[in-house]
Amino acid sequence: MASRAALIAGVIVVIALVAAAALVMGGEKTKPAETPPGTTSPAPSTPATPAETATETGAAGRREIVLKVGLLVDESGPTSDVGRDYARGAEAAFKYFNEKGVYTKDGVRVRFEYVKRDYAYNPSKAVEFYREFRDRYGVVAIVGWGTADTEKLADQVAKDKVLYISASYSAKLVGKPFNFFPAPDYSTQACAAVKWMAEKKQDARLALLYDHKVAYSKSPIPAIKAYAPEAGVEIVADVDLPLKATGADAERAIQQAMGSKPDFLWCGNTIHSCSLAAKALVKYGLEAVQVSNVWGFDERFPQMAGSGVEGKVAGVSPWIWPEYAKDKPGYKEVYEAAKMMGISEDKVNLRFMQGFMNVWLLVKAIERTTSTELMEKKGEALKEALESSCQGDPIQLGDITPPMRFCPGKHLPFTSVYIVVYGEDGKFHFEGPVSPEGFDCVAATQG
Amino acid sequence: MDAGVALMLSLQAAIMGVIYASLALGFNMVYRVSKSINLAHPEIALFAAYVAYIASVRAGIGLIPAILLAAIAGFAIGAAMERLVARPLLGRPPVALIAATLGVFYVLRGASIAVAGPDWSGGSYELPATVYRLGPVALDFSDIVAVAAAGGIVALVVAMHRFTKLGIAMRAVAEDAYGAAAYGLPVKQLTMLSWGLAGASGALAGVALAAKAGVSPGLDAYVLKALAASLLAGLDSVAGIVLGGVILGFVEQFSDYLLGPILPGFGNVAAFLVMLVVLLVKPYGLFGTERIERV
Repeated sequence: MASRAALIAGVIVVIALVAAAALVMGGEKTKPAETPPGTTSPAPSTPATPAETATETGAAGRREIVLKVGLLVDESGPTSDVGRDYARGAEAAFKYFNEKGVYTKDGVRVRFEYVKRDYAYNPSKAVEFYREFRDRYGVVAIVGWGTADTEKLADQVAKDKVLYISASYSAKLVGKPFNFFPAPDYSTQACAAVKWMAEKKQDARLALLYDHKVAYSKSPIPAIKAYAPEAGVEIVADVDLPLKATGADAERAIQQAMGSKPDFLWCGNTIHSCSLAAKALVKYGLEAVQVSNVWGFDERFPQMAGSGVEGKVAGVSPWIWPEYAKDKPGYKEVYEAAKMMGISEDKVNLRFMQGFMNVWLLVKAIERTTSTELMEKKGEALKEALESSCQGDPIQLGDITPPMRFCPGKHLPFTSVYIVVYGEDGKFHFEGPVSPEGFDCVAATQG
Repeated sequence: MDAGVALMLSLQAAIMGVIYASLALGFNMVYRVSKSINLAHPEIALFAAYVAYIASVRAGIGLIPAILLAAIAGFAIGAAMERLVARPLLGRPPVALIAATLGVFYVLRGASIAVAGPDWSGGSYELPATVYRLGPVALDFSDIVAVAAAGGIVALVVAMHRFTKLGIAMRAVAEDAYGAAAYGLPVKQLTMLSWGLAGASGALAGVALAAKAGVSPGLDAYVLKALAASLLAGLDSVAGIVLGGVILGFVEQFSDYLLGPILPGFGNVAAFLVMLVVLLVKPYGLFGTERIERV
């Protein structure tokens, strides 16, 4: 009897706790992805094709192309610290451009129908979802995420002729025919950071902190190691810092790095572990500046790392962050999209913008192709459209990016980055742009 | 290695050791009464850490009430697990219960994701950022909170087992359930209470760990590592856990510092190597009861 009462009480408490936690969560709920009709039906036996529908708009009947796109994100895995806002930005962009209207070169409207999948940063899961995108939904393009999965899928997407715009800027993707991103690759970005260090201090000593088992974290390391001696920077330590680091892991990594007395630290992970490393750096009084990779540093960094990081942390960014260019072309669209999604201005950050930019690059590809090409050649038409920027007009996403040129065999749209320094005054300062001229960091990565 | 570094590492090893000991308690308490390892224990700690984080940071109810809420959640989960999972499997091979707790592990992980929502990837309790320095040694406020909380849990549980009637009754049930029942002890209720207390101690230890390491999905890995401390002490020993935890803390810190540059991430592997060695060389641990079965 007593045990039954205890059981009932226990169950009630658990339910109450979960309910209370759900109530106090208070975080914004992201709108569920607009999945095409029939997402619960079994996969068709033959690959689907983009549907062309005739819709009545106003007095005259107009053709409309429905373009199926896959959205592969990490909202629950080890990179969800930056993945959630990226996903939200991409979704906002799809909605925004559907609303605003996207037209091919010959004036046919294209409407996006996207399918979102959270693969929790598990490359095997990404492959599974890719097959679903391809075989069940017949996607023409994918807006993707991580390094390991994008690299793994690169040859397959080329074979299937599916345009792939990733949030991974791995140098190994630069030469892949169907892979694109609106940024310099990680290696070029890291080389620029090394150049900046060399300019800041003569004979600078650099310690590397990154997850030795994660493709994204490892991606620029060969280039850093190749370029550092050229730039006059000595690499004095190579320390493992898990991507899913806890505070204790970060402290151990900093303790290891301290032994080699570095002037600079390179943090090659995402913001969660990089901010923990910065926290440990302050705790142990290490006199060094930590420079983080593009996914390891954004507006939230000072708050996440805690007090005392002023003047001790910096990050790489190929673009000015949205907050600092609100009224400029390109940035305005980002804010409009956020408004459309009911997202407040203060929630618009670098990650949101990165998601938005990737969809925008897809829009640019559509605008450079004709409806006939798109219907006949699908992903290949989009690829060729982007590569038309090599000799023709460059592609620009407002003022967010400089003019970008994607050339066949080398999808490296530009090579300059800003070094965003969190100064002693508690403000972010954009230094640069910096570019590692005269050294091919992509080649150094690809060996 | 210079003396300053050795001192710094030793201090961190001791802090982590006490935290490991508190995390290991839950394994031992469950093993004593059910002769099984609760593989959901890491997720109880993780879930509790998130409950405390959401309650204190987002709901703003203050850290102490949030910790109490986490402890209640841990107790409720532990007790519910005994009633809904362990008791129906009574008399079955221990592996059945171990497998069932693995199922609960994933259920709780899903619950943690649901509770944490946008903060799933991490956060930290709002503790003062004060750093105390003495020569090469640095301690921050979170270190002090973590070690005080973890040490407190261990002391409380050990004292309860040693000096209270309830603790003696629980030990009696753990030693010989049939004999305890013959003396009129409510075995089912005491078993459920043991699971509940194991859950509560796991929850509090999870919060202590999160104070030191931050709230993140990676916390459960620490609890799994704490299993090495349990094995080292002996799965049915409560008092020996402190030594087991501290040994583990030292092995992890020093092996990672010395071997990390050659073998990245070795510190995380060290705990499991300790586990292997203990199982092969001293399967009942340093303070565990050796059982000799005649066939």
